[in-house]
Amino acid sequence: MSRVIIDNLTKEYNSPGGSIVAVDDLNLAIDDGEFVVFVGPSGCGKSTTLRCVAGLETVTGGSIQFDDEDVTDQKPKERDIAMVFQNYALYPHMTARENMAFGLKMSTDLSKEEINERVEDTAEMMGIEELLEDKPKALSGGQQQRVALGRAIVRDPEVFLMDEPLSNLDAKLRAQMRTELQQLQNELDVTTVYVTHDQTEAMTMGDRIVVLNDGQLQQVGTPLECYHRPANQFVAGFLGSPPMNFLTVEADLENGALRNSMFTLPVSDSVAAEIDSPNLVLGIRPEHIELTDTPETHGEPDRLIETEVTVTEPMGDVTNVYLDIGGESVTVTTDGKTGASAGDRLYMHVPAAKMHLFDAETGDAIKHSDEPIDSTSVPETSSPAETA
Amino acid sequence: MIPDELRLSPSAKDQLFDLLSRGILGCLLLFALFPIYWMIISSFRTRTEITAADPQLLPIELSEIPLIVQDPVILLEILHYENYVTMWGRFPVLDYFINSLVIAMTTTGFALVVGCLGGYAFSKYRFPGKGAVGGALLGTQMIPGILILLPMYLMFIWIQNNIGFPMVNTYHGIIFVYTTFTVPVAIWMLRGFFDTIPDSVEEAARVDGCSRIQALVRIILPMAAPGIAATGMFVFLVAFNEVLFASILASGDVTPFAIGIQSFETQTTAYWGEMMAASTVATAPILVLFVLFQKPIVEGLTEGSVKQ
Repeated sequence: MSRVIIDNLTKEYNSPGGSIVAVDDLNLAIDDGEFVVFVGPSGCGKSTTLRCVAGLETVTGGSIQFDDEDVTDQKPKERDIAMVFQNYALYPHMTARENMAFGLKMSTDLSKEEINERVEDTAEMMGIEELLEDKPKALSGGQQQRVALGRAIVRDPEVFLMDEPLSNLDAKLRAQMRTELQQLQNELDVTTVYVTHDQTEAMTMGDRIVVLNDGQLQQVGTPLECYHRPANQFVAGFLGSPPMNFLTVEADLENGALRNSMFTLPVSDSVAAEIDSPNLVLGIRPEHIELTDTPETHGEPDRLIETEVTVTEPMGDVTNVYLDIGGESVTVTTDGKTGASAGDRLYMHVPAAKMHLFDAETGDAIKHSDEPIDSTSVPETSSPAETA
Repeated sequence: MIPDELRLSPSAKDQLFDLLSRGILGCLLLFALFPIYWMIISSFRTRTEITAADPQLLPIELSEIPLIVQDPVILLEILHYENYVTMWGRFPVLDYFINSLVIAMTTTGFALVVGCLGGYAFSKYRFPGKGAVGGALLGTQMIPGILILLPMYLMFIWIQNNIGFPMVNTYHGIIFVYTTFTVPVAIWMLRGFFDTIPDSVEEAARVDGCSRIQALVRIILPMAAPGIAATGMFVFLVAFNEVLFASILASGDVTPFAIGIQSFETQTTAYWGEMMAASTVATAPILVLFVLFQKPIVEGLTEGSVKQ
């Protein structure tokens, strides 16, 4: 188990059109035994960062340390890591047993018997004892996945690196493996770096999540921190499904209001004091909007916006209602029993406490919702990297 | 306009197309196999039978079939197997065959070693001039052999005269020549097979404790085995069947079978029967090898074309 420190990591690729910056001056400290999830859209640099940590990519600048040892220039085999790949990358000409034993054979001095014992113990833990003599071709996707995980676990490495390990599984199996992986990581207590583009995985699995975009660190924090206190509009829009709604507004500080051609919303003095830009983006999560067809009886009539329903998506427990406000689309997650249907004219209520505000130019957050963040399960987040 | 009653239904069209394509394939197959058939039956004939003005298509009379069914041993009397006995004494057939095997197998070995390393580098590494070198390798295949035959011969003589290292009529000389023109093909073929192996498998091996060369030997090469078998077979056949360079650069003690077989036709006599018998004996092991390795070769030849 190791503490992983990524210090000013930069990775550039040469291309005919000049160099492409895949990772831009990334700083991060991952605690011993921590489960950290790198999340972001395709091409954000999350996999490249992971591959740099693995030693599969050379770095252009900066350093990577495991505990106090600088591993930046070490080969993958010298780093005591184990990696799980998106396509599992099992060795097709070897049985599951040989796949799992291969790493131990190559990187340790263990005897055949000791290797066998460890492979069998791990196989038992993973529930794949029956599959040990099968070749990967004979295994289902889920079983291959388990063998690939087993191959990583049996090594008992300092750091686990996982590159979208669940994305080739079907939805049901993915949900099951998600919880299993979490339990495994809790039991083994090995520092884990997990890369995914799936924000559900990021939200549910990680002790902390690292949101990346265009090679740059956007935010590091617990899932709930990132969800309720997004550092900027990108993080706010990336986490959550359906995503946060954004409406462009102008600040009318003299009248203490936010204006859009379709509506005016009052803002409190304390919020107004923090606004230093006239052009803003109002953010509100779909689950925080309330719909009503009786504005006259509503407690906060000045926070209601008249809208028209364009589409409804009944999901069973909830229904996603899509609204149109002067050409901008807003999604509302309501109770599954809602009677709203396309064409209805409804009023949406934007609670002041749940509202986010972002600077329209920089995207930086100006105001967050007041949703509580449960910090009891949050590990120490005092790394200097987070302030970067 | 075609009257409706003469129009073919779609399924009848399919059947007709099927029949036609099988017919064409059958004709082509006949065209390819007939010389081999003729070689085999001629090897069981006397010179008179072979040179007869009206050669028989079948090696036996139709009336003899019931007799053969009753007693197969009678075949030995009807068919003239003497050619298979006398050919060994008349010409050094075995030497020719061994020469061919030595040359073809060594060439295959060299071509596969260089081809695997080169193909792997072309497939998995990025290096300056990759496109140009790859193109140049392919370009060597565009030059007709006859154009480099004379320069090659002169070069061999030069080496012999100036360095004192004999090249003409030696194993290493002809193996060197065959290796030079099979290596580019081997590299290109193997590159295609390596391309189908995901990078992540090699990366997994490196994380598991392998160096790049260990990952290649322990993981990548076993995975590319069908491709290596197909490439090896291709190189072997090229080297085994080659006539042009061998006719100039490999005679005397290293005469391969493809050249040696010509000695059955002397200035005074042509020993057709024995020539055909020797050819049959030389072809048989290759055919058996092909049949045994057919599956991996076919898999190998088609594998590179489809992205997995």
